[in-house]
Amino acid sequence: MATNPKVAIAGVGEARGGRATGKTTVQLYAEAFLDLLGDCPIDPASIDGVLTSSPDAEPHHMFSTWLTEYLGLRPKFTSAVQMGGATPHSNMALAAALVESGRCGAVMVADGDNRATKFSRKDKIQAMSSQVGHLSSIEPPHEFDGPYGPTAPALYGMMATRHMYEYGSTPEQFARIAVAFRAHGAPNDGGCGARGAKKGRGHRRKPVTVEDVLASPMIAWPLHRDECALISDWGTAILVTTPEYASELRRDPVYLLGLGQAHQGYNPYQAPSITSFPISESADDAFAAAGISRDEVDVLELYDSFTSTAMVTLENMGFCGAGEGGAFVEAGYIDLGGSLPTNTHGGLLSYNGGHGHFIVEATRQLRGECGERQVAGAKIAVSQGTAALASSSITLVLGT
Amino acid sequence: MEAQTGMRVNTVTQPYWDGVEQGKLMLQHCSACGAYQYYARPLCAKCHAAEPEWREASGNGVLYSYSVVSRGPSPAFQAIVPYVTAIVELEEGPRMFTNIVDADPESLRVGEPVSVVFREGPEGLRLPYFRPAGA
Repeated sequence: MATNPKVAIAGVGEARGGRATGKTTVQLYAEAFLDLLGDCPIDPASIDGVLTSSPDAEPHHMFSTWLTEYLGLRPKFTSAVQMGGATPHSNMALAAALVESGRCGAVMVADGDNRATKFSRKDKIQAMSSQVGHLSSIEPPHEFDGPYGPTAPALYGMMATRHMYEYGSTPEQFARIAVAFRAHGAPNDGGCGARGAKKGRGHRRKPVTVEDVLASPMIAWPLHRDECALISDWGTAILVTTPEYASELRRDPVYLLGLGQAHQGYNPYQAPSITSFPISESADDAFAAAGISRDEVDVLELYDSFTSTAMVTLENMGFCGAGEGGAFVEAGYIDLGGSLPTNTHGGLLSYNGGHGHFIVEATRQLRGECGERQVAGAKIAVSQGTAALASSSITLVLGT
Repeated sequence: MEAQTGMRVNTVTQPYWDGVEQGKLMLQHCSACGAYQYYARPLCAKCHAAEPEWREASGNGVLYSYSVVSRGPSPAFQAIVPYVTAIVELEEGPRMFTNIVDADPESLRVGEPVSVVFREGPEGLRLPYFRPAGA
């Protein structure tokens, strides 16, 4: 294990999101910020870096500067990043670079979007498909795919179709992933141990069976509704600082032990493969930097935009071989109580469609605050972000 | 510039859309490294030589993967569900995003040969589509 971590997480926070809340995006960011201040006694004037997403549902010019105004912060460094579902992971990498280089002392990695509020029930898929980059448009630069009616579920559906063709995986095996994450999300009310339960954050908490998943409405064959990410309101905030400062702020900081990134492009039809992505490179780099092997991972929080994303990610990260993901999930390894408890909070399929919760949950697991869903004695947690199908990959290894 | 009503083109993309109007599938070919590429760019993304030349593709390929869409992204597409989005791997090498037409979605198989056909799409644009070879 890396003996001298140079970057720590001193606190985490989340907004009361979930289903349509009627809140604006900056309001959700502000709630997450206040929750962070409750988690970590930092003087807001000491926050000298503010990194945000560039929100999709409610875009704003120079978003991060507007947010600092809204929150009353005056940082040395701020930027709004667009890395799809891996945006908070990308910002963690930037925060780590700012802290390690000494350019910033305390960086807030914040994320949020009010997609559930902004996109009406009727046009959600249409709005999501156009706002989240999978444009149905005849206008440049989308004229080579937009006129064919792409949707996000269709793109990830093609990933599942190809996986079934190459490896003989089955719809039941993909559905089994949704079963696991829904089971994990069921008891998760968003409560955080010491500060008491905050009811109602978990978004789709009813447990399901494989049969239930396969009986839910078809969205884009072979993907059913219960295999698709929730469309949620969310806000998350993570405070990244030096291990020394983190130790002053709290007795149980979490450390960034390793980090890896790899990016190969954007469009699915340009990717060399849609079942094998540079996830393997970012994971290899992150595990090497942390000086750990895969069997030392106690908890895995991975971006599960669709069941196909999770299947491919498990394989590409090297937790099982290519094509073995189906048998791996059916054996229960990813379940709470299995050897690799995955998406212990419920992930995008059950807890919230937000992107920052993977890092928040990894941190809370390492602090032992997760109650019923706590993985006993968790010392190493991995948070894996992917985006652009999975052509962008960012792996974070966190530890106590 | 417009190739068709509503379709904005420029000096880089014009030959592709001119080809579509003439019923030809045009690909860029790099005279420096020999690579074909889809979509239109002012350089070869493989060797970075400038200004790839245009060549007519055979229009034949195989079905690399597909999905059958039940919830369309716009009213025009919602009106034609279920439809098939697909990635086709062309004989020349590049893959392109398209729709499979003239086929029962349940009969499709990854790896099966497909060939190009030109049609007007749900938004009124003439586009290259693919159908099972021999259909």
